[in-house]
Amino acid sequence: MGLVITYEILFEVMQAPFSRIVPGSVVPPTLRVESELDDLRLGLRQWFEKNDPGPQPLEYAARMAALTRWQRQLHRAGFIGLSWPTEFGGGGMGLSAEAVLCQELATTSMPQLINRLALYTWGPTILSRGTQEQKSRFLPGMLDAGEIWCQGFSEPDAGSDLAAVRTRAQVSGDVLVVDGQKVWTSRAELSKWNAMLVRTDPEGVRHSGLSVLIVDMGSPGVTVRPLLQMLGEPHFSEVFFDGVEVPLENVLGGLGNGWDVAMEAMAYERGLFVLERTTGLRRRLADLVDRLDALGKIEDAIESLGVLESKLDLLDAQVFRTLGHQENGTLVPGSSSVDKLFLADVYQDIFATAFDHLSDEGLDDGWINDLLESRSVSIYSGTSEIQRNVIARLLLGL
Amino acid sequence: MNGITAIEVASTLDHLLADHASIDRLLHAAASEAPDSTLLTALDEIGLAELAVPEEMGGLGLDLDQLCVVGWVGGRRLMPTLSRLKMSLVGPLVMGGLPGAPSTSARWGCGFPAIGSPPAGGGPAEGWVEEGARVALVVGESASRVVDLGRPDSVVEPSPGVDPGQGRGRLRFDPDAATVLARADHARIVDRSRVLVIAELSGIADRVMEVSVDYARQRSQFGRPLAGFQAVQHKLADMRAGCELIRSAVSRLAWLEEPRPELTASLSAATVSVARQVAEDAIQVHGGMGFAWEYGIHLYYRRCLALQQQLGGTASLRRFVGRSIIARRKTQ
Repeated sequence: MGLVITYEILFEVMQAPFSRIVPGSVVPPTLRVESELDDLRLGLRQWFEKNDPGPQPLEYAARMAALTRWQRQLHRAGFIGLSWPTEFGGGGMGLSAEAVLCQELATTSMPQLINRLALYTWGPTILSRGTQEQKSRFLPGMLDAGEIWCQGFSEPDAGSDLAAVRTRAQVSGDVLVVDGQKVWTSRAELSKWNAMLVRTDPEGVRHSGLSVLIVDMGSPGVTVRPLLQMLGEPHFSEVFFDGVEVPLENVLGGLGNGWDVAMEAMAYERGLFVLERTTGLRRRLADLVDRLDALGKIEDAIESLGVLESKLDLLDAQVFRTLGHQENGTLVPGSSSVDKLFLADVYQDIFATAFDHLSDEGLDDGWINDLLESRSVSIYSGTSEIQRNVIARLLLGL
Repeated sequence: MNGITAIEVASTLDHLLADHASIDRLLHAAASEAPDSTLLTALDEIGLAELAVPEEMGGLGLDLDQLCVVGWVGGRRLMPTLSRLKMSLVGPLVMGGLPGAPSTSARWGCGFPAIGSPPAGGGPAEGWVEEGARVALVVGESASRVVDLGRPDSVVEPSPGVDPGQGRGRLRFDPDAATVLARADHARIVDRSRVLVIAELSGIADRVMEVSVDYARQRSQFGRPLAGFQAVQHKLADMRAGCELIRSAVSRLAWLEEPRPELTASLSAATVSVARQVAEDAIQVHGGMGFAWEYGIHLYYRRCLALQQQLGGTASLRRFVGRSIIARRKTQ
């Protein structure tokens, strides 16, 4: 007891004025979305009012097609890639502009962005790690949804243990030849590009000898076999690679640097991606309030609704802080695992609570589907157990 | 006001509390159900009450984010609640020009039935009262008042509660007969109090988490440190995640351009549960030592529980938040 640990933190705080406190400080920076960007917010609302696509088709393929059209429309209106550099078709604004778009899409019940994996994860990774040619080649198609992206990480024997990937890519002249199998690849059947983690050095052990490749899903030797998830929809697939040739220039971030590139991509996935989920959840919580009110059951649920709202506010606070660090380039490795861990908790709590309070008459397929789907949140992009391992290792040094 | 001064204050406070509020002395205060009077005096002497007072009125004019740093240090070191209340509320009220209120050097009490909840009319209110207190700031459901305690119908009875080293008393006064010396800006008092409580929770959670990680590294069972077991690592990881969440809440509120009372209430409800869970996990990680009086882990847990009561009780806070989202839906 009687530890004097305050000083290292105080020391960090002393390095900067209070308006811009460095990571590890008591009052860290946070993304501000309150009063700035009112013009953007207003512009979005007016545009949504005129261009509301209405309810999305229930059938999966038709829904995917409608979502692709929706993102293209938004792009034409100038609302996609707000934080990307203008030279690649972006808006040249800050991350807070993206945050405003996320919030407005959700609060006005507009459909999601179909290419969000590209926009929120792989676009930023290419901007950070890619060559000039890669930026010019890949970024524009991300924005207008002309080229949908998927991500090939998991394999049958490499799930949580991602470094165990066995899909191989061997250099042969100016191409890499890919052989192996990926699994749980979301939207593989719609995708033009697959950002894959593969083993390029057969001698490499664990985290070494891996590379990230950008693979054209239309190449000869790629076979996509859809898998039905819990809801009976083909959201993800098994993907087989049999002698698939990929140009060497499609290596992202250099041969052998795959682990670092993949980790950077996953860190991006925690910022805007989680914010998008959070704002979607806020919308569903509002739906739940309306529904319970219509059923005359709201009085019984007041305390539960308060719990959910307060958890959502806390998740927002966490995400704004992560985005603030991302914007300043001060994100501490491992810290965004907190966002993912808490997202899963809040996500699952909301739909479980909805199920508890809505009786048979109040439960439509939407609520049941959301409850079933919520179980995936503590599994995808690193299970909650993996997030705890990361926090223990990187934040606690255990 | 520059940042260095706030850091200097935080650093001075940390040194002072390290000397005067060791775990042994805090345990002694808890056993005797009274705060250490030399500690309270020392805290008064470093000018905590003047921190939030505007510079033109002789204070240091610290902003809310700076006060949060000081509050966080206070949380880590389990600073007496009354000192925090004087820092964040009494000082600014008195020196900020509340007419009719006695000076900060007078003996004070802070009646916090629970921030933002009954009693609406008057007593009895639970609060933190210095020995020989002449006046008290009573924060009620819809109004905050400075009340004269120097009347026979105002009685303070000891009511140590869950955190007995704090000198909490039950303040009884007749709302009709009591002399109200001044009326205070209630909404601002409640909001500011809550933000400072969240900063304090952040300090408590951080400290008890760090102590737990150290203990898990040192204590061996089955031939290896507790920290080598994944079951323990995951518990510590959850504690660390909780600490990060609370700090994010402090950050969110401290950087707001305008106070947002509903958001503050909502984050209070969320963080107090998280902090309590961290303190409970700390007891679990420490095993028998966590439950032992002399090791003092219970002091952090007790403080979390006391703050939960101060915030108005978690159930009623949650209902308040629930009712506000329903009201928002209906106005849309």
